[in-house]
Amino acid sequence: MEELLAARLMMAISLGFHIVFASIGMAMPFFMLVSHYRYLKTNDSLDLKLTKLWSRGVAILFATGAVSGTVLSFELGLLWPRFMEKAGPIFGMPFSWEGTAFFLEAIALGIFLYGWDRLNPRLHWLSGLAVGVSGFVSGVFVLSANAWMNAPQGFDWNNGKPTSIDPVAAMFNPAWLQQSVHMQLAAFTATGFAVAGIHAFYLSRGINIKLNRRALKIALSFGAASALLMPLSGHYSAQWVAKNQPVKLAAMEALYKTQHRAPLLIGGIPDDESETVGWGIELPGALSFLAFNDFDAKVQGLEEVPVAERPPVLITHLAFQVMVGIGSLLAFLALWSLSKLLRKREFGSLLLNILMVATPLGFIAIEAGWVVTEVGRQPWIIYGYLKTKDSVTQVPGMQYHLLLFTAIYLFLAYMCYFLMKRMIQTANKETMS
Amino acid sequence: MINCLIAILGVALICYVLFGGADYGAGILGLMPWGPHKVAIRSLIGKAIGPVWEANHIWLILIVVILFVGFPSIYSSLGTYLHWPLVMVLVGIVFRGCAFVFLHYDAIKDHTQIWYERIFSFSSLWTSFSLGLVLGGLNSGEIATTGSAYELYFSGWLQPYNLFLGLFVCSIFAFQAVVYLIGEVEDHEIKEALKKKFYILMPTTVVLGGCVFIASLWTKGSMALNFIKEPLSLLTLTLATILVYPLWQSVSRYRILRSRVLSGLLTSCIIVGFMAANFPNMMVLSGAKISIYAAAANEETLFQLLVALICGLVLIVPSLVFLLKTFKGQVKH
Repeated sequence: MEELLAARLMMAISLGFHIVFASIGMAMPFFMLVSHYRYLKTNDSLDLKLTKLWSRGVAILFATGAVSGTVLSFELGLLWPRFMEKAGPIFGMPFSWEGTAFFLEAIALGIFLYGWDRLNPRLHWLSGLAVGVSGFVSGVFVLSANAWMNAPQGFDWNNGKPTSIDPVAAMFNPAWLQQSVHMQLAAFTATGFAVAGIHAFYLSRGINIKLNRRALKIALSFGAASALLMPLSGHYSAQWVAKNQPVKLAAMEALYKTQHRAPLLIGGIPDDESETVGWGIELPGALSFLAFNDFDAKVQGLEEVPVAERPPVLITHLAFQVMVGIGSLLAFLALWSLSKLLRKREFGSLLLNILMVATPLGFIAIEAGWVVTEVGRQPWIIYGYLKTKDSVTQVPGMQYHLLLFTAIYLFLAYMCYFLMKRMIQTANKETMS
Repeated sequence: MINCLIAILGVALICYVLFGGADYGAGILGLMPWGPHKVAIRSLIGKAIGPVWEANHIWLILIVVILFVGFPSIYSSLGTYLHWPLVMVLVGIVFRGCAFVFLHYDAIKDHTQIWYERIFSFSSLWTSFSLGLVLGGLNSGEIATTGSAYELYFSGWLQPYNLFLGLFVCSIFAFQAVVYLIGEVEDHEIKEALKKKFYILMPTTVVLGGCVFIASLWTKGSMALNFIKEPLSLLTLTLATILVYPLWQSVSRYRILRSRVLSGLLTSCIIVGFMAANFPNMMVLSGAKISIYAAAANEETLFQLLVALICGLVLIVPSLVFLLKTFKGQVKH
């Protein structure tokens, strides 16, 4: 395998692994806070059990995320030393703040986990809140660093070297807000539906109905609310991309020719050779409207840039389809579930089964979304300034690096599954007896 | 400003070796034979390490962040020429961190616990050893910037010097852990058992330290010569050697606080000596010394980094203290 490809795959796998745990670390503490709050209000032991169950889950998943995050901080330099040498001083700011927020999250989680019976209840709840808030904030900082790669600013570029560096301007780059909003909502949607799906599984089997029903309600409320906000945020992000990264949008939509009244493509397999798309459904003018609020607006096609500066169209387009498809599905599920929740109706077995099947969907959408933004930015690592192939390490043997860490991540993923299963089964047995 | 950052970098390294080192050492101790005290020692090791997650990695991450924001060319050279030993460190950190969490949070305590403990101990040893390889790679002087892949990416850290340094780091971590753990137990027999291990580990550390010195003469960097030339290094080395005696005395008399302070001092002396012998150089590439001053980023970035670090510490330190208080605090009924 080519070294560059191996390095890119390695980065993709590392990020793809970390993002699942990071998302859970951002969203799940808030679920835990709600059940804890209920417990403090009502003194219902069921809420206490649920809070403890969830906090244990948060601890395991957070720690796995912390470890994979530590790996990432090294991997940036191990795989992309020439990128980090140039970019470190420019976009390192949000990383140093993220480090702070992350440690506060780790500390607050420690206080929360050990605080039962040791802290007064209000302070204890606040430590849980600190977990949620600092996790959320650290996510925003990381997103700001990634956003800078899409919308670089805060430096001058002289002969391939950055000068007049302004790290603050780099941190508040034009993309940070839209990316942060989109990712945070995604984290809440994915985690909400995943947690709900797991509890739906036990509920549909009639195991420990009271606990699982309450858990489902809380998790699904978060998931459904954010799933409904998601299309708005997606629209805002798409408009940003249309304006600032037209090539990425063209790849997302597999639009080869620049045109007015550009169609929105649903499905379809793009072919780079003939620059055509087969098997797709086109909605005339819809892309122009979504991107620029005008059915006749001109949308740039891939033809505007030479072939060497185009991202891989097939991957970007398919990933985009997967993300939007799942997003729409979850928004529909959100409406269905909310109609039951708000009218305080029981969930039928059909809905429970669908929720169960939907458990991994949010995370698949998150992965697909990252493929869209990262692959869609290619061949650039710093959009418009530095290419990915010019920043990869000179060290040979990246294939071995890739193999090693893929094996490690697979093992860790299995271990997390193993622990979660044992944890939930034990909790179900305990509350039953 | 740049000196402030260098100072923070130095302090972070010392803190990592002192606090993180005791964590690693505790894991390493799990590999030693304990006879009848096996179970008691195991639970002691598990309890001694920080809550939730190894908070002491804060220092390592601090070092990484300072390097890639403030001294980017050093960070990128590290990632390039010491790629493989850093990969080794990472593999160790991953297994250690996860094994620790699994050990604590697995809902069912059964035979898998033994596996978590084994992984935790082996990866502690592995990571400490790899850290030594990396550290030695900085100043072995054997890294070439042109030539075969072996000369570029392996010879810098595969010298006897690095191997001895790796072992030396393991034994320093282990004896620190012993000194720390003696203060954490009540049972006299276990105290005795720990003390016996100290009587083995301390001389081992001294011998290995000597080996590191001698082996360094076979590398182009000849760290031992730099040590002798630099007055501060010579001073700290002498001090460290002298401190061995009172440390031995206070451990044998179970003077907990005094032992901890002395062992911390001794270790700090070694690190300060090592840093001073190289200062201001961070790395040697093909005989060219890379000064930390030459590698520094622009003023504005350094300033912002310093602000972030100070704000971060102001927020983190009090909360960390609060966590430890809660952790060790009484359970109310």
